[in-house]
Order: sequence, then C-alpha cells, then structure tokens
Amino acid sequence: MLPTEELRAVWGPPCQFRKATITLHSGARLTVDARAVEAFQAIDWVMESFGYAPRAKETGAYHCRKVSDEEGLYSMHSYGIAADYNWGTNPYGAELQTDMPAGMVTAIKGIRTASGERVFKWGGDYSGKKDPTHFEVGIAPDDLVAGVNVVDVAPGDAAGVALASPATKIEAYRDAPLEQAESAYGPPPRRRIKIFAFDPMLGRRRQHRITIEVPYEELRPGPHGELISVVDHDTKTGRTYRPVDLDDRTLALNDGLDPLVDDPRFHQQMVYGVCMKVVENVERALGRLLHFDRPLIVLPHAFEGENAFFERKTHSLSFGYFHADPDSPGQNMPGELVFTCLSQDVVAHEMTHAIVNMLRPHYNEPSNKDVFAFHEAIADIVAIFQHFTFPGVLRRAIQDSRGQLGRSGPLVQLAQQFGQATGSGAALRAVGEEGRPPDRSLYEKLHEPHDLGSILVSAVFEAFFDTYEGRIADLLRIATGGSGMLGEGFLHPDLVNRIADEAADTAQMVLTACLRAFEYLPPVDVTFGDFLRAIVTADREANPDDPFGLRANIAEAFLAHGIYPRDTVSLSPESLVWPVATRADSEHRLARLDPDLVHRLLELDAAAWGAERSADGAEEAQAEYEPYSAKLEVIQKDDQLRRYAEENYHLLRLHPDLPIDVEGLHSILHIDANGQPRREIVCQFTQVDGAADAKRRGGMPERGGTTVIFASDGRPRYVIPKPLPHDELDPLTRHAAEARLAATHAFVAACDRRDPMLAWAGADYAAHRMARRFNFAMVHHAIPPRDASP
Amino acid sequence: MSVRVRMYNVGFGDAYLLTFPSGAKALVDCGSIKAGAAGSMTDLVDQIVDDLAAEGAPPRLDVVVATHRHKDHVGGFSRDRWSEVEVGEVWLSWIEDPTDDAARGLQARQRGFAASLGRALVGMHGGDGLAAAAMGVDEVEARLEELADGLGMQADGAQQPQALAALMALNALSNERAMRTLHAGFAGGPARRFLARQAAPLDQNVLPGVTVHVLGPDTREEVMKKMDPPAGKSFFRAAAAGAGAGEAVLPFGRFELDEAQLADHPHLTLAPQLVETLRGLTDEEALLAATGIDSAVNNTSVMLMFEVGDAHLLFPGDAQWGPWEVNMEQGSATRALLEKTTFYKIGHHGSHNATPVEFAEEILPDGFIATASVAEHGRFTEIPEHDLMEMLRGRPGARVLRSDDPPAGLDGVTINPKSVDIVVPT
Repeated sequence: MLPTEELRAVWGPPCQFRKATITLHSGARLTVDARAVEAFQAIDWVMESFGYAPRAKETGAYHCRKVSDEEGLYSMHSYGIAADYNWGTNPYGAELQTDMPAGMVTAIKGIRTASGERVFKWGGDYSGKKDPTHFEVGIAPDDLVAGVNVVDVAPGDAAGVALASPATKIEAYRDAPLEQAESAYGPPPRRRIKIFAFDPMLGRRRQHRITIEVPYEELRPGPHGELISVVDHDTKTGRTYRPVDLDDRTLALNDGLDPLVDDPRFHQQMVYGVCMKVVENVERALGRLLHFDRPLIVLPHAFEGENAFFERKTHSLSFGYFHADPDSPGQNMPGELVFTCLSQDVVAHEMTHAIVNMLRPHYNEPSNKDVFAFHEAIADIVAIFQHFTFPGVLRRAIQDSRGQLGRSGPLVQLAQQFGQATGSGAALRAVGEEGRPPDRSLYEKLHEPHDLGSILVSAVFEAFFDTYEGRIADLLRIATGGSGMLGEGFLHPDLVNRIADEAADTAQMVLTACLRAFEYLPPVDVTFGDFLRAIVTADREANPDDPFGLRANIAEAFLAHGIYPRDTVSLSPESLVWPVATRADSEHRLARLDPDLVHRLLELDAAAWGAERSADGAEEAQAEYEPYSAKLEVIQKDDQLRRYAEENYHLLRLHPDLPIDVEGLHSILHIDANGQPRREIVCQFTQVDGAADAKRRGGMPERGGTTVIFASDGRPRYVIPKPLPHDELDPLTRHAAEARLAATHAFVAACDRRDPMLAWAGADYAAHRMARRFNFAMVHHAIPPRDASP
Repeated sequence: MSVRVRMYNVGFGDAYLLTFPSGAKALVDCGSIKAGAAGSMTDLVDQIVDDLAAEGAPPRLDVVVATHRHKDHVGGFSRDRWSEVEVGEVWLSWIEDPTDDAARGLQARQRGFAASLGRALVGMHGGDGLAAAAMGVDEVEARLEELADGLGMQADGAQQPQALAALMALNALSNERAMRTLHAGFAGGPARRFLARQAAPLDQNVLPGVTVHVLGPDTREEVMKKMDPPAGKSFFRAAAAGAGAGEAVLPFGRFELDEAQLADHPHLTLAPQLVETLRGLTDEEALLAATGIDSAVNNTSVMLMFEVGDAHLLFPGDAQWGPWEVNMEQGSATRALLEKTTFYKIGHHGSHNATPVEFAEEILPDGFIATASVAEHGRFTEIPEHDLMEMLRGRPGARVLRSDDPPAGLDGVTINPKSVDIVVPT
C-alpha cells in the first residue's frame, strides 16, 4: 500500500483523467478512473455475492473537491480511485458503525493484483475516526494492468453463494466495453431533437415538424438526464414501453426519431426536448442553472384522460391520452387518439409548473385568488413564447399575417388539438380575443385559476404586441419608402426575416422580464400586483435604458386589464419599482451582510457555472459532494444569514417572536447601466405563525416572509416583504398585513361556498381542503367547458 | 293564528307537512337515504298518510312540493299508499317539465351523468367494465348499494372516496318510480305546476291566504350553468378501461417491455409511492364527479318562501351557492324578503354550502326557528356541519332543532313519536 501523497503523485492530476462509469448490480452508478474500473467491478461482484446492495442515493465515487484550501490538496475522490457505499448506514465517526458483513469486507480487502498485492484500503480500519463507507485504491495504476482477483474468501463466507470462479467473472468484466468512456473530442455543446412545433394535428403540415436545440447532457435510455427522467409507464394498465436512447449513434446523428404518432419512443423524445427547451429558456432568463432536489419523473402516457398535470409530492409530470370527441372532434378524426404529451404547449405548461414550484415552493398554497392563477399564467406565457423560438414557424406566421402578429393564429394560441378534440371547437386558450378590448372589471369577477390567469397572459401579450409594433415601425417605413403602408402581395423575404428577428428578440425580452421577475417576488402569497412591480424592477435592473419603452407598455397593458398594485401612488414605471433598501439619508439603515459570507456564496455558485450536466450529478445531489449542499452547509453551520435576519428583523418586516427560516439563496448575474457585470445575492426568509386558525385558512399555514437582494459587497438593495401582522410594524404596513390575511380568509370562504365536495368528503378533507382543491391534477380537471351549449 | 310545521323524522332526508291557518295542507318533499330512529321510509309514509286520514277522509293534501329529484327528497313517493291521497296541485321544478326542451336536455344530461358514474364505479370495483357498461339502471342501483355498504373505511380512518361517490351516485339516479307518482300517481288527478324563479308571487288559489314566493330554480343562463353536470366525460371511459384489467387502448404493444427487459433499465423503476399517488387520483376524480353531479341536481331545487301574515317560512330545498347568491344580491327585493324569515328549513340537512354564512349571520333576523332534517349518517360526517349549527344557535332568540334529536321543552315545539310539530305564529 502506498501512502496518500504517493497515490496522489502516481494517479494525478486530480479531476483530469479518463473517466469511466460503471453500473453496479443494484443499479447505482460510480464514476471512477478508467484504469481502476476492474478493481471496482470486483468490489461490486463481492457485494452482489453477499447480497449487499449499494443504494444509488448513498453511493458515489468521483467528485472534484479540495480537502484543504491551504495546501491545495484534493480528496482521493477527485482522482477517481475512492468510492463511498451506503454512507447512510456506514457513518463517519469515532466508533465503527457499519452494516457491511465482516466476511464481505474481508473479501473486498482480499481483492489482489495478479502479483498478489492487496488493492483496497478500507476506511473502517483507520486508526482515528472510522469511515466504513469508504474504499480506496492503495496502489499505483501500473500494478492494476494485469487484472485483479478475489482471493481471500472462505467458501462459507458468502451466504450460500459459491465463489467458484471469480476469475471468470472478472474476465467477463474485462471483455465488456467501457460504458460511456469520454469522447476524445469532448461533449457537444447542444443536442438537436425533432419535435412537432405544436401538436400532431397541426403537425400534419411539414412546416410544423421542426428540430430544436437544447443544452447537451449525457443521457441514459429514457431519456434519463440530470433534471428529467422520462419513464414511459402507464399507471392504469401497468405497461411500460421501451425507452428511447438519444445517445445511440443512429439517433444522435439524425436528431432523434422522426415525428411519428405511432411510436412511443418519439413521444418520449419530444417530451424530453420540450421540457429541456423550457429549462433552457428559464436558465437563460435567470442567468443561472436550475437544480431539482431530485429528478423530475415524466410519464408521457400516464393514464387515459383529458388531463395532464404536475404532481408535487411525487415530483412528477403525468400526461394523459384520450379519444377525440366522437361528435365534435374539430380537425381531428372522430375518436382519434390524442396524446397530451405531443402537445408542445401542454408539455411546456406543465414543465413550467414544476420549475415555478422549485423557484417559489409556497406558491402552491392558494393564499389568495391570484396565487394559482399566477402559476397558470406563467405556465401559459412560457408555453406560448416558446413558439417564438421556432424561426421557421415565426417567419411563416409573419408572412401569413403580413407582419400584423395579432391575437389569432397558431403562434398565440394554446393547445389547439387538445381544445378541438375535447369538443370546444377552439384552442384551449389564447392570449385574448381578436378585436375585443380587455375588460377591466373582469379581474374582480373571476375566481377560476385558468380564467383569472388568462387576464395576466392577455396583459403580458398586449405589452409584447405594443413593443413589437414599436420596434418594426421603422422597418416598415424603410421597406415602403417612408409611408409605412405595405402594398399588396407577398412580403419580401428579407423584410420577413428582419421582422422575425425583431419579433423573436422582443419575445425573448418580455419572457426574460417575466422570468427574472421571480427574483424580485416575495416568498409567499403573491398577487398580480406584486408581479407587475417585480417585472418592472427586474427589467430596470437588466435593461436600464429601456430603449423600446417596454416598462411603460407593461404598466399600461396591466392597468387596462384591471391589474395594478394596491400599494403604490402612481403607475409610472419609476413608482412601480420596489423601493430601494438603503438610502444614505435614512436613519434606519439596514445593515450590510458580512462581505465574507457573500464571497463564499458567490464562489460556491461560480463553481457550478460551466459544470457539465449529467445524470450522475442528480444522483449525488443529496450527497455532501454537491455544491448546493455545500452552500446549505455554509448557511446552516454558521447560521450567519439567520442571525442577520434576526438582528435586522425590524427593517426586514419580520415578526420578532417567530422563528425565521432561510429558504432560497442564490446569486444572479446581470449587466448594469455602465456595461459592467453585476452579481447579486437573492435570499428568502420565511416565517410561520403556528397559532393561526388553520380551519379558517383551509389548512394552509399562515406564512409571512421577505425577499432581500444584496449587492456583492453585502449592501442590501431591495427588501420585498409580506409581513405577518405584529405590534412593531408601522400602522400602514400593519394594516396591509392584516388585509392580506383577511384576503386569505375571504378566498377560502369563497372556495368553500362553491365546493360541493366539502359537504360530503369528511373531516380530513375539510382540514386540508385548500390543498386538496388546488392540486394541479384537480385544477386542470375542472376546466370549464368553453362552449356552454349542449 | 299560526302555521303548524310538522317535521317527520325520516332520517337523512326531508318530509315537512305544513298546515296553514285556513286548514290547507302542503307537503314539502318525502324521501330519505338512511332511515332514522322513527322507522323505515315505508313506516314514515304510512304515518304521514295516517296523520292525514285522521284529519278527514279521504286523506287530502292541497299541495305536494317536490323540490328536486334526489332520493332523500322524493324517494318516499315511490310507495303505493300515495294513491289513497287526494292532492290539489303538484309543484315541481321547471326541470321536470316534459314539454320544455331546455329542461329535457338538462335532465337527460344529469341522468345520463349519474348513470354513467354509477356504471363506472361498479366497473371499477366489479373488475368488468364492459359488463358494467351494459347494465340497466336498476342493476346499477343494486350494485351501488352493495358497493356503498361493502367498502369500509380507509386504513387511516379516512372516508373511502369510492363509497362516498357510490352513495351520491345512488342519490342522483333517476328515481323513476317516485317521479311517476308525482306526475300521475295521486288521487284526484292533480294539476302539475312547473315552478321557476319569478318576481311576482305565485298566482295560485290552492293555499288560500298564503302568498307563495318562488326564489328558485332560475331559468337564467348563468345560474342554469350550475345545474349542468361537470365536464370531462373521458373520466368514465378511463374508469371503464381501467376496469377492463389493462384493455389495450394504445397501439404500442410491440414496444412493451417485459419483466426481464425492465430489469435492464433499473433507473426506470418507479417508486411505488408515485404509482399509488397517481392511482389514488382516480378515486378522487370519481368523488369529484359525484359531488359535481350532486351539486348540479341540488341547484335545480325549488326554493319557496310561504308568507302568511308575519310568518315567513323559507324552504330552499338543497339549493347551493349559485341560487342563493342571486337572491342575496344587495338591495334586491328577494334579499328584503329573506330578511323577514321567521322559519328556516336548513338547506341540505345542514351542510356548509347550502346555507351561506352571510345569510346565517346577517340576513336571518333574530328570533327565528330553524330545523335540520337529518340523521347521523356514518359516511357523511360533515353533515350537519357543526360550525353552522352553532352559529345559528348562537343568534339571539334563535330556536334550532334537529329532527333526530329535538330538545324537549322548547317553546312552540311539540315532540311526537315520529315527528316534531313547530308552531310558527302569523
């Protein structure tokens, strides 16, 4: 056995070596140095013989990390020669605590090279603190070249399993090709995937079958990636369909399967592609990578039914399939099979729900009538704006409409096939009705989340159209010799291309503003008015000059739809921006966050940038290896953020007597007015008043909270509070806080009046009734018929 | 002078006999889905007819009101003894008018929905969706009764959603026999009247000295919408398909993975919890459909206010929020009328959503009498709703009683073996 320093020397450099991933008998996966594959396979064979199963979530090998900053030393995991198995049941500590059979450990330690040298060291043998989860190669790579053997096994050791010919088994491993060895050319930056631009009904036309690009990640059959795992299982019939392997050479070279309704593998491919497109759009807008705590399970054929939903508890997307209405199928065949997973819009909508759930988990509590409507609206906005990222589709729409992108046409309608197949005779939803001015009073009247959400969608698109028209006015003047009046006939392709660029750019700008607004939203109890303020603030930060007047267009469009914040004096964009936290002249100055803490957080986030995505990352996400967990550790160990919140509770509008939770924490990056990159920290503090009347709130906890944005020097920039009422608040804020809780009570009462379930469904339903009513499966199911006539 | 209200203890259901100062009699509903301590529905019908016979031969009712077509309101009319009773007029919801096209369409949808729901539930449990789909309504009814009785509580002590759904589907089945009596089964060949909400009092002479206000059901479209069964027909197809033990709907057979192939993709194994949760949503859907149709039928309720001098007796059937909302509109004549209520038949056996909080707290004047005709059901633990009953009891001068447990010694209240008499002064 070599001492650690020597091991570093003979295996190094850390993190840069040819990696190989092996799948263990339990399905868990390890990434190790390709030269040590056989040795680790020998461990797995021993474990299998002893019936010992490494759990995927508690098992891992390669991870690039330093053990000590001072000396710049890397852990042995960084060299791909150490693996940890089931750390949950083999904890690190002074006492040896392990669930590994002694015979098995002996056998693993008995794995020897051809020359009889032992290969592994076991952490359980350490003289100081014991680390029984840990096995580490203790010899040089050259010694492993001749292969390994399992030697030190007494015949009776392996619980009834005969260890007759270990060599054969090892031989088999040796001949198997290395799984997913790294390409000599490195990974490609993008993956190309064929999809239906809208759905199979519109996809009968060739121009609506397109190829999109999404960020590349290594995929296992499914597709199974870091964020998304497609599992084609039908929960009703119990059938599972063959998974598509997008990393297969043929498919990789052909941008996947051709759009085909008859092949479930194309469905899996399209669902994956559309979901990842949403991920990309959101990541672009937010300027950071998204991470789920666990992969999102996507079931493209989950059940028969006119429904699709995000289910929070199981972190899954379920898509239904159904037969088109036999009497009113629209442009479908009567009885045609309709797959919601083949609708770009339905998939993008549901995926957005999952992402919003991650960004603001408390928006799953319908604490006022806007909350779920906001969820639905954002999902529709993302789904529809995604159409504008399909260049061919966009150019055709511009040619067809002669540049007058209005409120009709496939570009701005949602789920056409679904809507028609369910007998409504129209798309499921659209961004508004052509030629009908918005009705300001509608916002007050509506309750159903999709209907109410449609108002927000319509407002956002009005702002989009206004801005777009402003941006192409000069193009039209140039193309028409100054008149701006287009003549008869086709538009010149050059003009179409230029208009399409403007449309796509404007769409991206508005979508970015809508998504960036999330950084400036309170952690709980959102309203449309909050969203207006957040969007204006976000856009001012990202786009200080506003050359196209987007912010004024947004404010006007929202007002025209009856949406305005109840707490500002004016609708000018300057008044809508959230108040800036620190003013030099203020007596009550909010303290800075310790710049050291800010730097550590920024460093941890920076480490994640540019890192490669892979399915293995997700499996290790809950482990100590993940930067995100490291970040949480920083917060938890030092508790600095919590202490900061406690010390500054008054100016953060937090309740002095309730515990404070630090929930969201991440950095964002944008370019400031001087063209300089600016990095900021967004932090969310929340509180729960456990003494609140849960019955009156329909089972929802009474939450308050504050979002705070810090500059990179720790200076607070924005404080966006949703306080719980308490005595120390100034009278105005306190009044608003009380009104907020009253609004929750009123909303719960309004739902109670309309809910026939409550009378019948028993005490358990009554106690959790808001959650039961507002799970996405049920909300989506209760889509009211568009056409009321029989 | 006074109106006597006799509330029969039918269990979970309604049967109210009103005797007006002129001696004219009206029966509002007669049905039950669970017998109370006073005996079976047949016993109660015997009692009612005997009570009528004791006051004159032949037994006579000037008016029979059937508020809506739910078993707990009309089931008793299926008994034979009604042919002995002479009736002046039968008042029904306009939904029952066989000559009204809109009514027929709406009723067909409601009945069709209830029957489909029943078949789906039977299919989901019997395991044979195709057989269930071909069942006649009578057989569906029998099977639903078995289902509702057979399903116990869930392991965690919560209600079994399918049992609840089965009970509600039962309640909403067509009740054909009872409806035949109402349309043509009484002695004396009574005229039928189909009532709809109207501004002027009902033009009638069978109840002399009584002004009858019809507050529901509405014929306006926005209120009618609440009488339509829920959308989402595919639920029934899905339920039936699921019952056919994996009947292949999708033409993907050749892509199916068998156990051995599945083992090659361990990362595609789903957590059992996920599959369970998704399956459980079907049960929840069934219950959602059942409560939806229940509420739709409740909203067809005839909603009456009988006015005799100062006495204002409100019988809202089981109307839910939609119809109430219309009548409580600020500044309206109907709201002014509701503010005079002296006797209130608590809607829907005391459930939370058939008595608006605003009505109970603000509109009802002090000193009213309110009755809930109800029995402990076992399944429907939230009916009557405790908070609502307490809120009513807490009002100044209020007298609130339940048919299954009337308090002794309440002023103006007499307890009979199978009924309670309440005197409402005019």
